[in-house]
Amino acid sequence: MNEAIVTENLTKVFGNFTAVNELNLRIEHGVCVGFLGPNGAGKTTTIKILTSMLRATNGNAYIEGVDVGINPKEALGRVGSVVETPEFYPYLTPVETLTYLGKIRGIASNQLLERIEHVIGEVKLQDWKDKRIGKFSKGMKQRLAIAQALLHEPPILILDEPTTGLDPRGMVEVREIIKLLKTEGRTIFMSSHLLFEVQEVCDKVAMINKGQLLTYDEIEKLANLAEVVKVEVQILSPITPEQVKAIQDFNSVKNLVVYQPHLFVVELEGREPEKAELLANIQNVEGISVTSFRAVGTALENLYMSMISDSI
Amino acid sequence: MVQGESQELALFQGQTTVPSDFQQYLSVVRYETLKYLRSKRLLAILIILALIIGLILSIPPALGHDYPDDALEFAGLFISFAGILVILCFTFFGADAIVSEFQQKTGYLLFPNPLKRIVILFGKFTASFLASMLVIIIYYGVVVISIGAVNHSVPGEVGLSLLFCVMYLLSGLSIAYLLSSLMKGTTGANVLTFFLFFLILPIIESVFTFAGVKPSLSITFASGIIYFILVVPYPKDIVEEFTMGGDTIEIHQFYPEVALSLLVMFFYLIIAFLLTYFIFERKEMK
Repeated sequence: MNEAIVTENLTKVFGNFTAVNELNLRIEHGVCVGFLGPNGAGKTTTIKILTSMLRATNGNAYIEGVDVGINPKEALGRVGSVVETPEFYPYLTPVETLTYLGKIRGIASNQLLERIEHVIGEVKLQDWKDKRIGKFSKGMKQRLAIAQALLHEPPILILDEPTTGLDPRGMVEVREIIKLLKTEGRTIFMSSHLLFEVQEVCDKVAMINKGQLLTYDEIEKLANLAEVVKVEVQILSPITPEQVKAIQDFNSVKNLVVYQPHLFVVELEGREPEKAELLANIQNVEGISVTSFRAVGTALENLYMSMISDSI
Repeated sequence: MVQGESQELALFQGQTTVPSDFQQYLSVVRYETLKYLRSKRLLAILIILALIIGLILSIPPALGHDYPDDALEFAGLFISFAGILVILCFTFFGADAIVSEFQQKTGYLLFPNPLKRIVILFGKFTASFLASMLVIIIYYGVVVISIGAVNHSVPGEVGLSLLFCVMYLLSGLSIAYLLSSLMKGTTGANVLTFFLFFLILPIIESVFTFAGVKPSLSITFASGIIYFILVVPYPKDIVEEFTMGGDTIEIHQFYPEVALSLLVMFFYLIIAFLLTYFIFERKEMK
């Protein structure tokens, strides 16, 4: 087994609810994979099984060929993870927490302080490194969570919504850290609700719904599969019901939503030629003067919406 | 694995080697003990301890009495409170040790590490024991200093009482950990542990005693040896008969036997610990 992370028929059942349903996934070394899916799709459950916090009902999860369920100590030795926003021991400072985790992970004492200074600098917690964590905000705890995941320079990172709880600046900083880690050849498996974040940071996407894998491929290839685009149109005069009806009847138009009297969004089946045709057709509708016409949402968002809605 | 991949992986190899279970155990013990040393609970229990000692030492002179001439009798004044102190110790330092990792979500930090659950359990248990022992040693230290100062000798029974106290502490902690692994909330675990030892088990013992059955298998009954070892000669079970309205009523006074009580405590220590391990190993961070 050469892959960094593998799940084979991974299944997790809670009572009558199947959270993960025979999930088969093979994550190669050195790629950054976005793990996407709606709430309750099974993303966090999968990540919790991979990090030995849940036991699989059936199937197996492997990290570098080691079964997490059978030998978690060996499997997790080269993994750094952030699962949800962990709580820290309030009586410890960030330096003490990282020292504790560093010792558990076997970082040599002579390297540990240097590593702690480095990761604390990376997540910009220098001013707080000797303060007890008890009164830290959620964002600060998330920064510390990322610091502990990077502490032992793991070749594999498993991150569950790593930018959750961060302010916009913090989100950007974390994304930059992830991009840097990518260039260092690490394998990154991260779940996120932020599709633009995944598109910006990741090389590949694994999409799941109802615990089953819908697709796993490179983002560029998936983006080309997107067959639905959204176009936001602004017009000079308020749109009338007749004009709405006329636009809805055009070829390729799947849906139209009026957000404001002067603003509506058209869901279009097709690509650039269909967009051009739509613009020309709207301009021909009596009484409409287009002031703005632009595609909204990313190709990944559009693909996500179509795949998720198809699987419901 | 292709050559390029192995080169990339080599960048990270050798930088860290996961330590042995024993080295990890020492790290867990160190930081879990630090938790208790920095907690308000330790402060609270030390205040209670100071109050008990203060009352024992101040009340006799305040009432115009001398301290007992007999060293064992004087030691008994202190050690009659040792059981309560031990209950407070395993409530404060053991009752929420497991459940807090799940309820307060600190498990999200600890469990994804290359660390066996059994190592976490042993580390936490040792830390709870050390924090409790700090309190017990201070208490018995004061007992020894006080009876040494007043009676100029320290009977060996005080040492035996300390040993029994340690055994009670270990078995009680083990039960507290079992409750902690079963409960879903820290408050419930703390309350249940305290009332189990302070109220529920003593009530059950009373019912057994009233029915004329010696509650030898009750851990709180067994803990009586901590105090009774100071009584010379060691007390024996008594049955007194009273006649009320033509009926004869038997009143039993039972005393725990030392060897059997130690065996009972050892049994609870092992069984509760094994059950705790079984549950904790399978407990999930849902």
